[in-house]
Amino acid sequence: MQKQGVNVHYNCRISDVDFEIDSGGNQRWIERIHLETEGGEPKPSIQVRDTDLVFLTIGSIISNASFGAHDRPVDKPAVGSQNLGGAWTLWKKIAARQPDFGRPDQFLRDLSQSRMMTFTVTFRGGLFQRKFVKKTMPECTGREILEELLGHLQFDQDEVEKNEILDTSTCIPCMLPYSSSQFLSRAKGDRPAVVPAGAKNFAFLGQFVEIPNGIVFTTEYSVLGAIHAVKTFVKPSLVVPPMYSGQYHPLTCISVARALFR
Amino acid sequence: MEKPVDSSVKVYLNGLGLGSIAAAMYLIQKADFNPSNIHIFEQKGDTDTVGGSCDASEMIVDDQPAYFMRGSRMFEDKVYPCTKELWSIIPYNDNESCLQDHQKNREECRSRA
Repeated sequence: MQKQGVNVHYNCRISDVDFEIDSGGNQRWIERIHLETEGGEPKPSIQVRDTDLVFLTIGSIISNASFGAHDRPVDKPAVGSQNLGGAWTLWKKIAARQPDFGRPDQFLRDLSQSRMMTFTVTFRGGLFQRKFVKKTMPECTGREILEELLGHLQFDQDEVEKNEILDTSTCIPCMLPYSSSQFLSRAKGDRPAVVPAGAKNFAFLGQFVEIPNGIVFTTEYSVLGAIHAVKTFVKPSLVVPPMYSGQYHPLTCISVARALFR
Repeated sequence: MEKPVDSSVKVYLNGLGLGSIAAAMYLIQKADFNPSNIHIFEQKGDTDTVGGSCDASEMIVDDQPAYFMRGSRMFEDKVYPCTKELWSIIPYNDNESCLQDHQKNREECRSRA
């Protein structure tokens, strides 16, 4: 994208946007974008015309991520409203001013339900084996998580081989406090529409917008929102790829039923 | 008949997450939008891991290169038509799209399994 000319401004985030509302109260548009560095230093703001476009990603499922290492468990995430990052902070600001922009706090309220851990393994040789680690995942080093994984994969190899895998790989654990926050119970209105009523030059993107029948926690959701925004404001003839609805396929239903009674 | 895109229109996006990247790619590849009118504001510095949940990158751990990705995503054939369309409009090299590269990798994995 950058080679083609897209301007990516690093160490720079949208800290706030100013809305203008017409006298009849029917149309809204963004007329100014406020910018700041990651450290919070203000940068010159940008005037926006009602014919320009602003697509705002609201919320993030990787905010406050904390890492560990192959020989170290994850750090305790520095959870707190001041560390939420641009996408959540901006959403909180604009949602407080306009009633149909959703309720971000609904998705930030229960870390015990929204947190998830991931880990990335780089193998440099060898194969796997069995042995389970008696610790919770956040207490485990990357090496211990990999040992647990090898156990679940039921590789029956000798201790020497297992240790060779563990020694020649790098497993980096990561704690994501808000990873599955889209699944917290919610009510109508907690998520804004991709294009809210009367929006003349703005749309919302990401995992926390309302897309009927969309599947959160998938890349589909983020891409689908973007397609809707581009179709609405720029290219009405854009064809939205049809969503797959497995629940209407008899064979899928049969395999689901089989899985339930397994 | 669609009216041509006003060449002075600018688009502003926050963050290098998938939403912004998808919007930018659709604007450029499907709506003939001028890439230089697209501005993406990313809070991280360009040396940091950027890209939302799909931020896979290489880092050096104990003097050795290692992969790292904060989020993760399992893909399967049917449920990802939009994601696949996005891959199809991102060039992988001079001749192939990212979707073609993905399909090639998948065939290779299947033939080994």
